[in-house]
Amino acid sequence: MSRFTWQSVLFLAPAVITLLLFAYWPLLQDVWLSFHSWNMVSPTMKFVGLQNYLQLLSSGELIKILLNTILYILVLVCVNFILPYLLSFIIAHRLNRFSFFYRSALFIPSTVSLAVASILFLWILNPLAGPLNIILSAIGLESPRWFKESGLVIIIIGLIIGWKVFGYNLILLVAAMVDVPKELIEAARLENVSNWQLFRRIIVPMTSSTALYVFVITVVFGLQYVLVPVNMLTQGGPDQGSTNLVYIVYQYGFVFFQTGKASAFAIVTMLLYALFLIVKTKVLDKKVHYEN
Amino acid sequence: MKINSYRDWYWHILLLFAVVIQLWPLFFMLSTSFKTMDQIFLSTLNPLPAKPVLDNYLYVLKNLPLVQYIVNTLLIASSITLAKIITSILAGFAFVYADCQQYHSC
Amino acid sequence: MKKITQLVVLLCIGAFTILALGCGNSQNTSSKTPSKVMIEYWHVNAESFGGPSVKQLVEQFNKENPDIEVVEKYNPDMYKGLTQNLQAAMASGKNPDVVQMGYSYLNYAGENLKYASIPDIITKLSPEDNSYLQDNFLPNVLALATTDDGKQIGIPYSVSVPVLYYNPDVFKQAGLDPNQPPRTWQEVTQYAKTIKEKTGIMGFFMQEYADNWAQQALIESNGGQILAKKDGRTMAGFDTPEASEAYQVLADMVKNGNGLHATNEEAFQAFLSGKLGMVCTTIGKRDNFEKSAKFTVMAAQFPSFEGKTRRLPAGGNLLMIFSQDPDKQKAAWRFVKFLESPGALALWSKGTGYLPPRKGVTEDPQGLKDFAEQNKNMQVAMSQMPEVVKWASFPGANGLQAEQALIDVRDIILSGKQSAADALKQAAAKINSML
Repeated sequence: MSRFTWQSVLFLAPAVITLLLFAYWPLLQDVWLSFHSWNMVSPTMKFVGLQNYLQLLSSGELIKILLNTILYILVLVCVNFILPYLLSFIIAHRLNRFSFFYRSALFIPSTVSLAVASILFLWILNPLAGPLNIILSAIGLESPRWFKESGLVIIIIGLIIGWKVFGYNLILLVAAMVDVPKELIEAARLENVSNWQLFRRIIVPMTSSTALYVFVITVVFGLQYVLVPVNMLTQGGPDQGSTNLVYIVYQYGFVFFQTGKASAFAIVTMLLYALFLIVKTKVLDKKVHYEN
Repeated sequence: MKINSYRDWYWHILLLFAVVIQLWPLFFMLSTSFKTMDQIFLSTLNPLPAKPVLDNYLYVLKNLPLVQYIVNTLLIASSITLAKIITSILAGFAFVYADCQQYHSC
Repeated sequence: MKKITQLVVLLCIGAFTILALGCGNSQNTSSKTPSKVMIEYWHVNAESFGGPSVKQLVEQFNKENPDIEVVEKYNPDMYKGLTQNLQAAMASGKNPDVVQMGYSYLNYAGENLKYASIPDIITKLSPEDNSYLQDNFLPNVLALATTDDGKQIGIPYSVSVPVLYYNPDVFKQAGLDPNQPPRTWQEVTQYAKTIKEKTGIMGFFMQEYADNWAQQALIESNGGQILAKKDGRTMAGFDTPEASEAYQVLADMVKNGNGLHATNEEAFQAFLSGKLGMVCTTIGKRDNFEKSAKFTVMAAQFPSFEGKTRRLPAGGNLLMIFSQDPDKQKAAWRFVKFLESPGALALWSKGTGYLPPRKGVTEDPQGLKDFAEQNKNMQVAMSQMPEVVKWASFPGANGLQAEQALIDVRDIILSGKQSAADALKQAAAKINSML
């Protein structure tokens, strides 16, 4: 930064101060808490050193939580990244009419709060009385107990979040797709390039920067969203089948009132996020084409 | 780009399918809001309430401080929007304003 | 640009992770005017769960006591949610005055919350009420609000017991007599089977809230227990044949397709839709069930095990006082006394289905006399009062986590992954290492 100016510092100040105050200061406190045993009201905090971390690493639940988290990420990436990516290509480049209608219609669920979505789907998916079961039993199938089967519960919660987030990601991706110059596609078409080649050689590289952004928010925000439906519908059950790195922090902190362990989990979660971003930087950014 | 006008029908079917999946739960919510409790349980699938009622809406209007909820919502939404826009615009401007030659992407 | 973007993203992520920990709950502060004492009453009663009754009671009290203003505040997510809000409020030094506390949080509250002792308030500020507790409450009911180390931390307010609700239309369809509900668990199993076979409707569901209340009733009615004292230490007590035998009854019903394993709300929706024959849950749902269902909801006593005494944990809550200021303490005590008066208790019972904790309310014409005579379901619940015992409350800093381990076991057993005996044994080991 050779032309470092005081103006730029001033411009940055509001954002930086907010972040320092509401992100980095609590982060430091979180580190401090993770070395203590405290229940949030007791006047005394017991220093326990690394005990919280050791318990966390030695308990069997960490593996289960990590596996669940990965499963959530896979489901979320499918419904909130790959699917909207493909559909946005169709909307932007394969339709002659009505693309505005599709974009709007698919976006509407994004305006519904996740709490509402959770209750709505609880009723729709009711295994005995819900509309889906009525349809399923009409064709002779028995409805699974969606929220009581481990594995299935993660997919269902992922789909509820997908239902909400899908439209927003789609809009972002359509905007990127529309920016791909029509002439390029036109030219490719004249060369008789197959659909797959067109997609692989032109669309993917030209939209990669937005796609990467959507991918990152899918993983990072997607996991934050998980908290609401899990807390409302399953409380981490069945037998921790729907718990994950984000919910476990909430559960230790606000259900079990063990702030030390909650903080330790939060730190581990943050380190994993950081790791994800490092991998993203080192591997994916190299392959991304930034237009400007 | 002019693809043959009638060659895109199968994409429309696919997209309409997606639209139905996205909008049906909302429609279900809407129709349920006009049903009485026993209709909700008895004619779950029937999209049109046999006897549409406004009871649920009247109940909400009468028994809940709806005005306060709306004011709260507006207050939170607008203050967050405002704060986000201000801090982001200023910070974003600063990033571009400061010399960015060394960042190859500028 | 790129690196800075990353930096910003990283900053945001840091912020969000911390937010997961840092989001406290806001609470109203009660401002104090010289003429009126403002006190705050925290409850867990949503609109569908006694909320209107709370409002009505507060309104009545405020009208009758012009020098006190009670503000009620609803806390979502039951006692867990309330305890969270309470801890957050106390951490920031703003405590409510009168609070409903779940019986399962009894020991936790006694050990960790800075409450104002009601016996102390009586001695100091209201000596005329010296014999109030002894005169109006049975010793075993008062014991519901007494911690393991013998402290009276509050007064029992709402008492609920599990009952067996059933749909008489489904019974008739299955050729069963609605006036002969199952009395034992063996009969429940048979009834559920008959219902499923004759009508295709699911037979039975036992509540699966995030607690073990109904399951405790099941286990203890078979002579088992949740907690046991060994050498002065509290240990898991459910690692016994009695407990696993009782739990296995549920598991077998689910395994045979006659019992439902689902979330609570799903099962209640199904019951009210006529898609489920019997539901075993709290009498507290009575009003809501009776109003929502198209059919006549009927209730029977919690089924017993052949030749064994029923032991039903009391659900519901006690009232605790958290005021620090003597004026507020006095006002809070007056409000508690009002809530525990026969008239107020009657209104409360009608609105929620909770049973009155106080002696004589059911015989009092001002209380529940007429209502109890008219409502059969209420009579059923009241007839179970002598069998009420304390809700097991896991002690210590890991108590709530230990309880969660027992909740997790329910999913293991009911999903058929392990037999009740094996799963309970493992859970007992896990819980003992925590306590």
